[in-house]
Amino acid sequence: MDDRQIREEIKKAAEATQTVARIPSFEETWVVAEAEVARTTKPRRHFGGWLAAAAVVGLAVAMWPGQQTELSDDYMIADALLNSTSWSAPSDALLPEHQFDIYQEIPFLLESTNGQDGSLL
Amino acid sequence: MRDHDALENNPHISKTALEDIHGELFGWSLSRCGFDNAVAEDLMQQAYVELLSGRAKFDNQSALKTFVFGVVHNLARSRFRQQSTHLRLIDSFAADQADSSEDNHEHENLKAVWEAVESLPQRQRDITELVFIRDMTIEEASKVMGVSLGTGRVHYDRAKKALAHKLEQLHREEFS
Repeated sequence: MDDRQIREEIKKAAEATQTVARIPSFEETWVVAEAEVARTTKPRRHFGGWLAAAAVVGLAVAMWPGQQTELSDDYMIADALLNSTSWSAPSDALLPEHQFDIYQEIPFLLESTNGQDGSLL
Repeated sequence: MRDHDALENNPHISKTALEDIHGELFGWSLSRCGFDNAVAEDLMQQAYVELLSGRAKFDNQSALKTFVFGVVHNLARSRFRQQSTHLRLIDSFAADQADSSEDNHEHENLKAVWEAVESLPQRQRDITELVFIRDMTIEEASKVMGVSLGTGRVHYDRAKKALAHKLEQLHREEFS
């Protein structure tokens, strides 16, 4: 039995059995499919649009200059240390202000060159 | 070149081209779902939804028929993955037949031929249908089934040998 014979016999049996089925109208099937696509894709598009808008707003808020987190004093000090040519002690962080002049409140001492009993006054 | 009725999300597919293979596609859908008309219509509609939405994208690398048959095949496979039983073509066919003895004899022959096809393992049955009934090449049928050409050829050869053996047996019984 060759290919052609097998093909013919099977095709004949298949065609005979396919007469049972009524082929549905293409247009009817197509219209239903289009409606299904419209129903399922439109909300997704809206959702996608809202999602994109929310992402843009979120990004804008995060990048807004006024919204940036201020750097802490500790960080400022460390940064100043790294970028400066002068040295300041780590304990400077304990000062009430950055680069506080610790000598500003030392009382003025009068110098004297006058001696008394072998000592300066 | 884009056809005037090309699908928005699938520019290589035109509505007219789909309409041309609609009947064949229905036949294929029927065979994928145990010849249940309602399920076959649903399968085909689902396939059109996949094409319209662009979820199944045709890239023009194969024949449209091959591609769309593949879509239906995959949809059916995922739909019936957990279903262990299929409706039998022969049952519905038998119920609709006339009662004349000549018709009955012819019917018995057709039934026997179909039983021979249906007794094949699933993939051999699929390739038999695609090549013998849907007039596809082995290469096209392999694409629909999602197997390599080599695997498709193996299934085809085995199916052909098994069918030849069974049909010869049927002929011998008929004439004895």
